[in-house]
Amino acid sequence: MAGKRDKIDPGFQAKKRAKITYNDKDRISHLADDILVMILSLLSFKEAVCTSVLSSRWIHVWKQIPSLTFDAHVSLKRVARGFDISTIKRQKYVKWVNSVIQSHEAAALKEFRICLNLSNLARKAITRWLKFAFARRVQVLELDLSAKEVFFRRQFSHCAFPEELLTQSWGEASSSSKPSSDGSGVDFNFLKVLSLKYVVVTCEAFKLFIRNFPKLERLVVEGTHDLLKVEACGPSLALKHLELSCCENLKTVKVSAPNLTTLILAKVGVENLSIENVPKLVEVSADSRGDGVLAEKILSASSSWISQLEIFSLKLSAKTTLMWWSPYCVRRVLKSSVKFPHEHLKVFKFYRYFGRPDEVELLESVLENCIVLEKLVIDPDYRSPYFVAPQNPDDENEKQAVVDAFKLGIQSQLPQHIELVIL
Amino acid sequence: MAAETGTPTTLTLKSNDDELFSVAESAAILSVTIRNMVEDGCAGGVIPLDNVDGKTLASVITYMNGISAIPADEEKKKSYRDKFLSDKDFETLADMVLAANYLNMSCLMDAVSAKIAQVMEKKSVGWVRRKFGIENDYTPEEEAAVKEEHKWTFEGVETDDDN
Repeated sequence: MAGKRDKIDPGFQAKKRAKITYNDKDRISHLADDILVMILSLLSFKEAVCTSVLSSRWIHVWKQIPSLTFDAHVSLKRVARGFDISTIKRQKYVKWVNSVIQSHEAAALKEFRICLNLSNLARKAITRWLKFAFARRVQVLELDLSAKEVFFRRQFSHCAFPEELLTQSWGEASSSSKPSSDGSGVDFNFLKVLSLKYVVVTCEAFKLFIRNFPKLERLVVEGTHDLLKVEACGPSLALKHLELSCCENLKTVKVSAPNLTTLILAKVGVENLSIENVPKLVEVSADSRGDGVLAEKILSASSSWISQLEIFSLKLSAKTTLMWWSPYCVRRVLKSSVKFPHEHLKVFKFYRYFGRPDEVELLESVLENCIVLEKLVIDPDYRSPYFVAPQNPDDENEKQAVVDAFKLGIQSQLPQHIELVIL
Repeated sequence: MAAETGTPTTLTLKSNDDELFSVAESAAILSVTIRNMVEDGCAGGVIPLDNVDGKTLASVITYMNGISAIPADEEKKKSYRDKFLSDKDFETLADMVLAANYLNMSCLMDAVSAKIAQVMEKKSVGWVRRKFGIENDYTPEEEAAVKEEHKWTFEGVETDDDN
């Protein structure tokens, strides 16, 4: 046995060997399957699959793991410079996911995650994976097909979410020879979390999500140009968390969701925004693209729920000397909304604080009206994220000047029970 | 029940090697198996635990007493668990995980599983075999075939034990 081990692991050093205590008997292999599955679930999925090599006892254990995460970003990064190798790797990855899916044996899936920059060429494979996941009553489904490198991101034609899975009857959809259509049927009733990043999601697809997943609590859509309109409305929606980001053509957002607690909008070009019937909403976060319009829209739509918020985060637009007027508009609207008392707001974060008079006025107004405020976060970084400028040694000085002015002004008025964080 | 009578109820547990242990009911019912017995009224005399030996049961009871003495503070409970498991060798951990499974104590089960997973993390196949005394019953051809099946997986895994 020792000889065999050495062959498998030739790099092993004799000096290390002396440190290891050998066990007389193989206790771990005698543990019941469900205990081993539990242990393997705590390893990365790759490591869990690797255990199949330990001995024949282990060959099937990982196949019961209810959470499948295929994250290739780390491995692919190493070969990102050689595009051809990357393509080959990508094909290998697709094959690997296919083979895992073929041998996987768990009857129900808790989580299914794909993280790789796959283009529309892989649509067929992705459709098959989703079928597999839905047939196994998946609860958490995440597709992150973004390329980490911006270069790739531009080149890619993103894969579209296979809407036909949600419209066809399961019998038609599973005409392939996949073992996943093992007669158990598809059941969308189990899906609680759906996260789609850099996957093409159309208005029609979004509608189907809302209609077909009655238990959906968390919905995240990021990086699609094809989503123009979003409607998350219904008296019985289970939706608690809605997050829409980097959907530049998104013009209309309509939300009426009685269970919604969190709404996050970032880099969306919303023109029509309606947020109604959200009695449980406690957290709103908005990141404007460059013009501050989004923050203004949110504030305009906020009169019926702003006083119930506990966390309200507005990232105002980038401050450059040329664009100073638009954040001013936002602050003007914001000031009008903090004129009345807020009995729930506990955290106030101010990004890109520059210390101009209207900003100071706004903060004073916040301190006066947010009567249960516990935490104030100030980010005095005024540099624009939209221009990659070389690090300027003056930047630090200027930032320090902003911080100093803040300390002299607002900080001296700050009640002691409020925690202050300067980023 | 303890709260009603004012005096804490004590249960007697019997290991499979006939050792007897006294433990406060409030601590013992961390085990769903024992709680069910108590609720069904089977806890009057001695509760036999056929799948747990005395040494392991003593250890589990130490854990039960320790963790139930901590008020509802998840951070403190976690640090107690970490400390409790820190000096246990794998033999003991294996006994504990079996006992926790039998007694249906999810918090102990999770902690011990995490501890075992931690040992396996980022280690090569050879290292894990040696550490746990796992006998490799594959022929070299079989082993190569298993590796080949999920080749992509093995390429990406980095281990930190051999260098």
